Amino acid sequence: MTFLLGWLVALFGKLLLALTQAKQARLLLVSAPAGSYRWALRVLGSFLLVASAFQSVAAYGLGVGLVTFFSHACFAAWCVSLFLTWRRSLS
Amino acid sequence: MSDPTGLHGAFRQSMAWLHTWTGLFPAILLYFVFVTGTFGYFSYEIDHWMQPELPSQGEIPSNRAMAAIALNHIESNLTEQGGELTRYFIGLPTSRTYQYLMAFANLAEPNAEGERFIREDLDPVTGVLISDVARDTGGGTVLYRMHYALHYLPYVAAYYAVGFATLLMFLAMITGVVTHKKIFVDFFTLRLAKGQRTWLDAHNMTSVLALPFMLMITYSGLLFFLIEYSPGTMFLTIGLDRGAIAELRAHRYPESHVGDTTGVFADSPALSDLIAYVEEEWSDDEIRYIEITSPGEENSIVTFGAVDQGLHRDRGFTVMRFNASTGEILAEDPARPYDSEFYQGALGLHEGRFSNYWLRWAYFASGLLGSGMIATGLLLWAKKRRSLVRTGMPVPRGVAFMDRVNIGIIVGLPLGVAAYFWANRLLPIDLNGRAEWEIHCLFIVWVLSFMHAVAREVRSAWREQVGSLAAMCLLLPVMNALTTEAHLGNSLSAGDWERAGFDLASLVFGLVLCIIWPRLTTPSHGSIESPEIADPAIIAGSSVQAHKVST
Repeated sequence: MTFLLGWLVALFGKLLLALTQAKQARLLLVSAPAGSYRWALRVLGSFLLVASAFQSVAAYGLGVGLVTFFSHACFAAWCVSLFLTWRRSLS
Repeated sequence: MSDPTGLHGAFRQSMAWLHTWTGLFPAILLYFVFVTGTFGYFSYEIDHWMQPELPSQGEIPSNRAMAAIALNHIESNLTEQGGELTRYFIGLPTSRTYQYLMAFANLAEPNAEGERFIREDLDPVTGVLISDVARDTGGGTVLYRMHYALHYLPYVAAYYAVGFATLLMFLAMITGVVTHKKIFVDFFTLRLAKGQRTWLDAHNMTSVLALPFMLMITYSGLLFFLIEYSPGTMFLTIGLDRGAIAELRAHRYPESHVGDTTGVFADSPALSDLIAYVEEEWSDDEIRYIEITSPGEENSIVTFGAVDQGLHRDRGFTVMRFNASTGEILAEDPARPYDSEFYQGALGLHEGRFSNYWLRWAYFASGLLGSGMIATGLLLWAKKRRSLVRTGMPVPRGVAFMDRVNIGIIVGLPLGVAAYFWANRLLPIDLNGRAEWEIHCLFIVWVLSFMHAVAREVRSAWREQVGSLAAMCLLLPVMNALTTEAHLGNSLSAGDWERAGFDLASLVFGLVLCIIWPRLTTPSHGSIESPEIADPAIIAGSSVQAHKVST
């Protein structure tokens, strides 16, 4: 459960970061967010990734926690990419 | 915008060239290393599946009962074989190691075969030798070992070959990052049905999204044979002085002094009492081994080791030592120096033995991504060459050859591994050299795959081989059910998730391949062989060339 929680936080973080890119945002929203919103999404997405890292380190210790965080970040990015690919195939 | 023909552009172009050739040259070997190494993350589970005669985890008795079985075996059988024993080692099955009991003893004098130790593996329930009850197999351990020691080659030649290939891969990754101009813009991008562009996206995605893993696995892989890869460093710094080498070892792995053999015999507290104490202390951990040095003597030491919980590889796991005569707890080993900690940490990262099940699946999936990165790189290279051929012109022999080699590499090796598992179930149990024949089956099928790829038209070869692989994966659990009692129904009802997980993973792989298979027949889905190219400049690691075309 602890592992899944960290991954979910990283997943939302990556999703918000994907929204900061105009090309990706257009697949998820009607139009790409304005500059100031994009900046806020970038901050919030980064914050969620940092939170995921802290959660992993708190649960598993520094060494294993960091390894866990990198695996969360990698597979969260994969899921976002596959989701966007699916959205692109619909459009 | 930077000038692609200037210094910046020339640099990127050089890096693109280097990326292509340092990636392509060792690709076959690297693919073999990645595929077999990926299976290594579940080597114990594969071992367990490949010996269905052994008890499932739920049937394994208590540590005390198993220690008594092993101790009895060492003191009766191994003493008979080897005479005086100076050290006993009992490896206990845990959720993260072998599922059998290991009885191991050091001899005071080499035996008739010149060996200084004896090892025998036992059924943890009955204490019978594994070789008498279970089939002879290399299991997942052989696949794991192949990823650095290869097969049919001398060990030294193998690790030098793997080391050189790893070094080139490290170079290919760094140059790949330099070359990949739109690394952030294309971060989440996979465009399907775009021909060559799709393969480029797939290559970028498999490599960039798992970049921390790729960098870690290659760098730590090189560290494994650090001394062997740079023997001059050792020679030039400390020469061949045995004393200096021993001193260096003591610096890297400091140990508490445990006393020399006295020859005075003493009564020991019962081992079962010590086990009970350790189990209470390590309530959230499992005992992985028990070691008894100078057994029966006054200064005998009993050491308990726990399953790896941290990044450390060998001695970093929790250890508890007792004076065997008095039962007194001894001091822990002193802390290791930072260089040794770093080294062992890097090796631990590579092997991932500390991982829980979730993290081990992440390692496994990352290994698959690494294999995918190499496969897509190979396909991209062939497609790029094919795209440069004008319509109506014959395809150059080199490109036609690579088309076929790609099939043999990318599908042939997984076919070979699937054949290895099938051979485990189909070869006669009493076949002489059975374990070696399982491996022969892997390589025979791999060679047949190359021959099939040469004999058939390229697209048909892809379809037939991927179809065969899907069938082999889907039917493996069926074959398991027909030939053993350890089938999916039984393993699920017994809660034996190691065996059930193997069968389920095989089914999932088969289903994924079934999804891929129809797409291999449709050129519009960026088929493997389709010659259509929208923009020949858009190729792996060659955004610089794209600039050249556009200018």
